[in-house]
Amino acid sequence: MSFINFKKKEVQVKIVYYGPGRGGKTTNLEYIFSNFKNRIKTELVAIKTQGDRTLFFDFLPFDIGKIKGYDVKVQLYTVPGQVKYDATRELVLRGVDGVVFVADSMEARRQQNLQSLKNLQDNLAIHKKSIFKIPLVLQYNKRDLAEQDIPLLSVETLEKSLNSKLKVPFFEASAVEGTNVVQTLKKIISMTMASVENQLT
Amino acid sequence: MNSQNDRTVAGEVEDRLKDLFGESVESPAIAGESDSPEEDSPIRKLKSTILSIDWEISDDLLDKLIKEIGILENTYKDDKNLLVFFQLLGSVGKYVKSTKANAHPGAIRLLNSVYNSLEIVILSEGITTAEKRKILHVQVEQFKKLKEQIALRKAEMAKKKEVIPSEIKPAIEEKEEDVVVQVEPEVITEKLPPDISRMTPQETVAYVLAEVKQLIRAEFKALREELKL
Repeated sequence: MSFINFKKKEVQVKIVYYGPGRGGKTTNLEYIFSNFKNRIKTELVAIKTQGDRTLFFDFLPFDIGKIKGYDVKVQLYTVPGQVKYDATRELVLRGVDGVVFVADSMEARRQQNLQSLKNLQDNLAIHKKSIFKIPLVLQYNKRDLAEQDIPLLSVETLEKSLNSKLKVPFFEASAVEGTNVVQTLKKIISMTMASVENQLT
Repeated sequence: MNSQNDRTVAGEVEDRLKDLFGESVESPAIAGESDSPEEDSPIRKLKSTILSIDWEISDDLLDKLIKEIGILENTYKDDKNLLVFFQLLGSVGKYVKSTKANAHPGAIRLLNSVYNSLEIVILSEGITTAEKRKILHVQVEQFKKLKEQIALRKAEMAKKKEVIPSEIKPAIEEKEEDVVVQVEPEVITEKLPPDISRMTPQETVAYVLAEVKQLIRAEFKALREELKL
């Protein structure tokens, strides 16, 4: 649930980038930070392991300005993708308002995508949230690898295996090149703000 | 945040997001990328492969890296400095391929660092041979440093092994570990002399090749003896 301070006229929304390990969640945040740091004027907080993997989470807060007189603050989080860090993922999902699921388009990662999406559903359920109700955007990342003849899952296959029941907006993306990174973010913020507003009425 | 103003709220969100993440910021960056000199450069594929390895260490990608290096060695066969760059990349690539997730974290960083320097050397207009050598020297030093770190790691692992009683050691694991841990780090750098930077690239290549052959022979001999036991 978003944090709303009526006295200060302030709204805080929490958006979590979820998905399998090495899928590009942190790269999404790094792209946003490096391309818009002059505008968002905050710092990206990242806690890495020795091998540059996300150990706890990455955190990027920024203000989007006033909406109907309320200052809206957005907090972006990533979770560690590796299976063993489930407790951390569950913790980061506490109070989540919107989720971007970053799927890895590589053919070899089909199973990891499914496992991670199921894990998201389970961890949301722990916080009494439904994957079918929470604002959710799918991002099919690493589409640029097709140029290197790396076998990728087709968008149709990804849609069928991940989005056939959810039917949420999706983007083909390349976080490393920045393709559709901003579009994904804009979509999830819009959906989350609409959801927050609905909860208030 | 009143429900009577649904359209206005959605519109305001759109406006704020447009202000914050408007195309004016992103477009020039994208245009800049497509205009960058490496787009049409022979090293473009190498860059993609190295970036992919940063994301995922797989046999396919490492084979691709080695293949790409072979192509570039042929393309730049007359440039001795570049050949040493490719040799560094190839050695680190082979090491990562053999050790995969157990590879020293510095190996991937070095792969990126050597590539970045290579890109500067190839794409910078008017760069002098002396400048190229200076950049190369830095990478060779990094390479040597990595070699020392790997050797240290290997020594630590060997110490740990000694503590475990031999009856308990699973034979198959031991053999696999020997192949992975002992052969490859040695292949990289074990006996490069401290003054390699003063050698000509051809001498460096010849020296390293001879060392590699010798080390592989020694390792296989040791393995054979161990297997007999």
